[in-house]
Amino acid sequence: MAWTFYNASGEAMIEDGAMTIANNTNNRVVTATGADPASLNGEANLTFDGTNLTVGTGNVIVGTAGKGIDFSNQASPAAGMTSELLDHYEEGTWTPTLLDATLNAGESQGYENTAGHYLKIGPRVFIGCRIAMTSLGTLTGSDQANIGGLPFTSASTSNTENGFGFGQGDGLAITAGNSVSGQIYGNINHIRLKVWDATTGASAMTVTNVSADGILIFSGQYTT
Amino acid sequence: MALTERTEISRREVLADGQIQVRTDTVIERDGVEVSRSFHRHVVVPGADVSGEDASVQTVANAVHTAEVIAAYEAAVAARES
Repeated sequence: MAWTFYNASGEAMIEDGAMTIANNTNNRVVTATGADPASLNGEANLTFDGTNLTVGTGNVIVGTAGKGIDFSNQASPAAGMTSELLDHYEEGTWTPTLLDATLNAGESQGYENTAGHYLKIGPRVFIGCRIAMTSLGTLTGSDQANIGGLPFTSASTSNTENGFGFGQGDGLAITAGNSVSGQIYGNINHIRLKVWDATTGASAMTVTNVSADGILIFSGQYTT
Repeated sequence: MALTERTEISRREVLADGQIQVRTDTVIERDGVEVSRSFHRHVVVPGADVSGEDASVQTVANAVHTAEVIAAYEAAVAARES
């Protein structure tokens, strides 16, 4: 018996023996091309075997901000878990600057070179930085020294401070035996530099401590 | 074969206190087809000089960074930095 599928408007859509799928092979996902009536095509690079969905070439593109990959079916989430949605991944560069308490990047600071890289996974940002000075410009020497230019502003949520450990320094003007660290707190896009100079902890590192030929290399992470 | 490089502002994310997170994409194209894209980020805070920013960022900053927003941001910074 011959058959025909009709749409809601009574138009014939598919007639017996007339439905074909181009490039159809086992497990290929079928997509439509063109307007009504569309032609059907088995996608060579998109397959589903009943268990795994495979994209042969190209990328999986999340079309809406805030959406991503939902891991909520994972067993036994850890206590304190706040999200199982991977909704952001990004990598790129940023430009570190040395700032005084005014946080002004236009103080004629001179740099031999600067380099900053970031990796953002969900709300967490991992950064790396190298900053080498040739001049402090008109920065105020006695001011708190800061590294500015961070790629993202830190979270405004309370108790989300993060500390940074500095792996390498050169040309600095600090006391032998002291070490440099950094602090980032809520809702800012710079790191406050610190010097571990007391048995009780760290205090402010000044612009003078950084010095006109100082080099700082560090990495760290914070929450946005 | 022609390789070309261009930049474009792909993100202008305005935070609650008026800070603008800006993402600049560097796009490499071969004969008009994109072959590479990399990102650079920076943040524009209320009250910052935006004369060197892309025109689209200036438009956002001029709309968002009102005198009230700048004053509130600067007061918050002063309180935090003290």
